[in-house]
Formats: sequence, C-alpha cells, structure tokens
Amino acid sequence: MMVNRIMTQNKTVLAAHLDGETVLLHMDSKRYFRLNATAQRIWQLLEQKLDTDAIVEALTTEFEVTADDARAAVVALVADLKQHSLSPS
Amino acid sequence: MSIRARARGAYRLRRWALAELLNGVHTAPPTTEPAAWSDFLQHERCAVLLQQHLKRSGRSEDIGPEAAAVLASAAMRELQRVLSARSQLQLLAELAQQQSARVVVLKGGVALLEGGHTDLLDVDVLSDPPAAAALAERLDIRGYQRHTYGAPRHLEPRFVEGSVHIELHTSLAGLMPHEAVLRTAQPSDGIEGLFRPSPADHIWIMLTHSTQMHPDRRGRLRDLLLIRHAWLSAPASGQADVGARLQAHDQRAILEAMLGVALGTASPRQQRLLERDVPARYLFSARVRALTLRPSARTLVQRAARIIGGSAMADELRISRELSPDAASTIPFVEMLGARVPFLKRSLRQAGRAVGVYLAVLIAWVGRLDHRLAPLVSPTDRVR
Repeated sequence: MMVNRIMTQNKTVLAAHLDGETVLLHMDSKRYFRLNATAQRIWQLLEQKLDTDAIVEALTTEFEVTADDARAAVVALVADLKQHSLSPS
Repeated sequence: MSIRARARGAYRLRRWALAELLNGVHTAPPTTEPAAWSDFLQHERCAVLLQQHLKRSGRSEDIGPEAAAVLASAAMRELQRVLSARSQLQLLAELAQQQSARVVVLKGGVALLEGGHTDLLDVDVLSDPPAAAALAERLDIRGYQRHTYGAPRHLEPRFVEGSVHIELHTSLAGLMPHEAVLRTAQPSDGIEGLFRPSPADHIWIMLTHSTQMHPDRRGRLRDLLLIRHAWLSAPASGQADVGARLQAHDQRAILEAMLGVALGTASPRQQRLLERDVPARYLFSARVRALTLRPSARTLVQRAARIIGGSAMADELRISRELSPDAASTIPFVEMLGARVPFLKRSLRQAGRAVGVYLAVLIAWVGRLDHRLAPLVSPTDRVR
C-alpha cells in the first residue's frame, strides 16, 4: 500500500504528504518541519504556483473560512516558510 | 507491565495489523499498553502505513489517545527517515549522472522512487565495482564519513550526521548474480539518473533478502507490504518469472510462505511456518530492550570491548550482533577462519553475539546498581 507522492520544486526542500499533514525536510540544514492540514493545503496550492488571491479563493471554497481569515493564514504561512527557507518553488 | 505481558501485547498487535493491512479484515484493535505499541512498531516498522490505513477507514480514534500518540510519534520518525533517504537518492542520482554510471536502487528504495513512504534505515544501491568506488570517492569529497565495516557485498557504508546511511553494493552474493540485475535494470520514473531492478528481480531480491539474509526478521510487516506492492505492480510475465525461480529454489517452502502471507493467500501451514518464531523474537527483544534501556548497555558493551581488545574487537562484536554471520571481519584470524572453514566463522560469530548479550546483562545489572547510588552523588560532582 502506497500513500501520496513526495514532490516539491524547491530542490533544497523535500515534502512528504500524508492525509492531513505534511512533513518537510530542509536538505541543507537537515531540519524537519510539520505542516497541519490547513498549511498542507496552502503548500499544495503554492506548489501549483497559484498567487495569493487564487489560494484565498480556493481555501474559502474548500473550508468554512472567511476570505480575510484565509488571507491572514496564507500570509502567515508564507512568512514562516520564508523564514526557514522552505518556500515550495 | 511485565516483559512477558508487553511482548504478548505487541504480538497481538502484530496479528491484528497483519489482518488489517494484508487481508483487509477490519476488527477492533487489541487493548494493550502504549509500551506494547512501541515494541510492535519497532519490530514491524509500518507506522506510517498503519496510521494512514486507520485514517482512511475512519478508525483513528479506535486505538485510544495514548496508542495514537505512540503511533504518531513512530510515524513521524519513519517519515523523517523516508525524507532523508529520498534526499540521499537525489544526491546519488546527481553523482551517477556526473560519472555516467548505472546505479540501481534496491529494496525499500525502489518504493521511494515510486513515491511510497516505506520506512528504511539505509539506502542500498548496486553498481559495478569501479562505479561504486567512484561514487564512494565523490561522497567522501562531500564530507561523508564511513563506517569501519564493509562486507563482501558492499563497500563501507557512507553517512552524514542526521541522515540515513548509503550502502554501495558491488554484488548480490547469496541472492542472485548482480550482473543480470545491472543489465536488465530499468530507468526510474521517480528520480532521473537512477535505475531500478526489473519487476521480477525486485520481487526476488526483496523476497530472498528478507527471508534468507535476515531470518531473524522473517515476516516483518514492512517487508511483507513491500513484497506485496512489488508483486502487485509487476506484469504477469514478471510474476511468472518469480514463480519459476521459486520452483527451482532449495528454500522454496519458506519463500512461498513469505509470498503467500504477503499476498493474503497463504495456507494455514504456510502461516504457521512463517509465524512460528515470531513470538519468541518479540519476547527475546523485549528482554534485551529491558536490559538496555538504562543505561545504554549496548554502548557500554562496545566501549568495554574496545578497551579490552581494541577497535577490531569492538567492530567484530558489532558485526556479530547486527550483520550477517558471513560479513567480512576486520580481524585477520576471523577472515582466515571464514576462508578455510566457514562453519567455524559463523559459530564464532554466534558465540560473539551470545557473549555480547551476557556482557549486556552484566553491565545492565551494574548500571542499575549505579542508578541506585546516583542520588548519593551531588549534582555538581556529576557535571564535570
């Protein structure tokens, strides 16, 4: 039995996607990071190279969340990812 | 919880997980302590797959919060190793392309190439000896360290801190001719620059490696799942090829039992054949683990061996414990013995392993004594 594929376009970051969470490995620092279900979905949308507006729209469709809250979550996650050099592309 | 009860609980979990993951039988998980979960997961190394299986069938909460925490923690460790192995494979692909070498990924690594999340402790790859030596040299240049042991089948493993090890195989002695595996290997779809064995060779290597090379872990769920996946993804011609090899093999019965259990088609006799040693293994490792919990008797045994006989004896003890009895030794006498009378070398290794266990018992006992005395020593005395 196999589960979801590992895939990322950032060559220094590897991501393993499971149901409901993602684990990231920064290959240079050898540090691991964990994304919860919401962050996982944002990550996947970032991997598709969608811009913030498109991601917010997708989140409001998929989750019971307002556009403002979705935008705040995206901005916060992107800032976190940048801080740890983890951006997906 | 007694050692026996803990081992029994872990074994009951194995039976349950086996039915869940391989036979699709959904039943309530056995009620047992988190410690038994921990032992079960250490033996079977299937935490990610089991966690995902429970999530997908909407039964994550059936195992209770404490067991769920143990499962989540084990799954996270497995995932970290998966990602680490994946990063090593990417590096190997880059190096293989630089030197135009054919590097064939073996065993659990093949599942990773296909995007799977199978736990693995090291990355095994096969190439011809000059290519393996060149790869090793490039890894050394990049700051990889090497273990002091090699084996007739592979070079000294390379590693960097925080990553799984890389074993560069130059042979598949005892399993099958490596030249044929290299010749019929196929380019990997998952990571460009690497190859994977043909479907039949992949099944065969998994089957014989986990049955013959490691009889001490026959029936491990992680291996069964890998064999099952390899079989189900192989074309009919590959399956027929493996069937023909099985017919001609002198250990056909146990190999067929392993394959049958992996596919959920084993007869009761085959199930008994594969399972007969498993409870004893659970009990034995529970006892050894109980001894080595505090302090790390294993490390102390290594240190004691190093003090008494130097690094060669420490290596020999570790090889006796962790590797095949036929693995190369750094002690010339042991190698000479192996060349002339292989049986005596294996016996010596088994004796070394037994001595190691008794030393561990002794050191663990001393360790417990030390633990009882510890409160009498002031904290500042223990800092420096």
